[in-house]
Amino acid sequence: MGQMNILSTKGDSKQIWDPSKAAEVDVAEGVFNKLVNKKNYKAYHVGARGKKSNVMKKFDPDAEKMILVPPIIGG
Amino acid sequence: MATSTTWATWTSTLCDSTASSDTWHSWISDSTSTSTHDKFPSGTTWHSWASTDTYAILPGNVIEFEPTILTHKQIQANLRTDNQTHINRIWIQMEKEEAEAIAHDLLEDLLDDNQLEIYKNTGRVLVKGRKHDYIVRRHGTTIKRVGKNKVQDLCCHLSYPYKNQLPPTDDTIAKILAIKYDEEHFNKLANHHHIRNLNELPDAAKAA
Repeated sequence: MGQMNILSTKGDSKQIWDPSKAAEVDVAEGVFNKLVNKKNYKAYHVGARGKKSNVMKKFDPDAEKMILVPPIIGG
Repeated sequence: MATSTTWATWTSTLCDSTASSDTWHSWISDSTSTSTHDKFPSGTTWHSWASTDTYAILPGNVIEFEPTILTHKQIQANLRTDNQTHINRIWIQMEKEEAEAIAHDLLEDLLDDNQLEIYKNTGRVLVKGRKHDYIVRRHGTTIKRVGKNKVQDLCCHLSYPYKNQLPPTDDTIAKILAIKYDEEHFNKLANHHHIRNLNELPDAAKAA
C-alpha cells in the first residue's frame, strides 16, 4: 500500500492507494500532480524513520510513503 | 424623580461637607449650563436632562440621541450569539489541539527517540544536513544554522496562504524535510540574517 501525507490545517490528510489497482493509482497520481505541479507543493519520499528519502518530482506508485509540504519562502 | 433626589443628596451632603464645595459653587456659577440643583440658576437644564434622553451636554450645545431599547427577543438572541461564539472558540481550540497531535504523530516517523524527547521538552530539534547543522524551533520563523565556528540566523516560513494556518509541528516538519533532503535549495531560499562567532555565545550555549 502506498500512502501520501498532505500537510494541512487538520494536521495532515492521507491518500492511500494499492499499487496493483489502477483506479486508485490514478486518483493518487491526480492529487500528487495537482499539488506538486499546480500548487508548488514539495513531495518527499520518506522511508522508515526518515531513511532512504529524497525529493520527488514525479509520482511513484511504488513509493511506500510520501509527505507533501506546502511551499516554503524566505522570511 | 429618583435621579433628582440622588443629585440633591449628593450636592447637599458630599459637596457641602468637603473642601471642594467652594470649587463646585465657583464652577456652577461660572458655567451655568451644567447645573441642576434648585438653589442654582441652571436647575432647569438638569430637569430637562433628567426627564428626557439628553446624556451629553457641552457648553452652548446639547446633543440628544435615542437610547437603544432591546426587546426580550433581541436580548435572548444576543445571549445565544455570545454563547455560540464561546462554543465556537472552544471548538476551534480543540480542533487545533487535535491537528497538532496528528502532526506530532507524523513527526515521530521522521525523528529518532532522542530528537523527539528534546523536541517535546524544548520545542527545538537539531537537524543534521550535509553541510551544516540546524536548530529548528516549533514556533517562529528563525532557524539557527551552526557552522564550524559560526551561528547564523536563517529566516523562512510556509508561503501564503499556508503561513500560520498549519499546526506548529507541521511547520517544523516542512523545515526538517527541506533541510534534510533539499539543503542546497533551502539555503538559497531562506533569508540570511545575523552571524555570530561561537566565542560570542554565552558559556552555557557553548557547553550545550
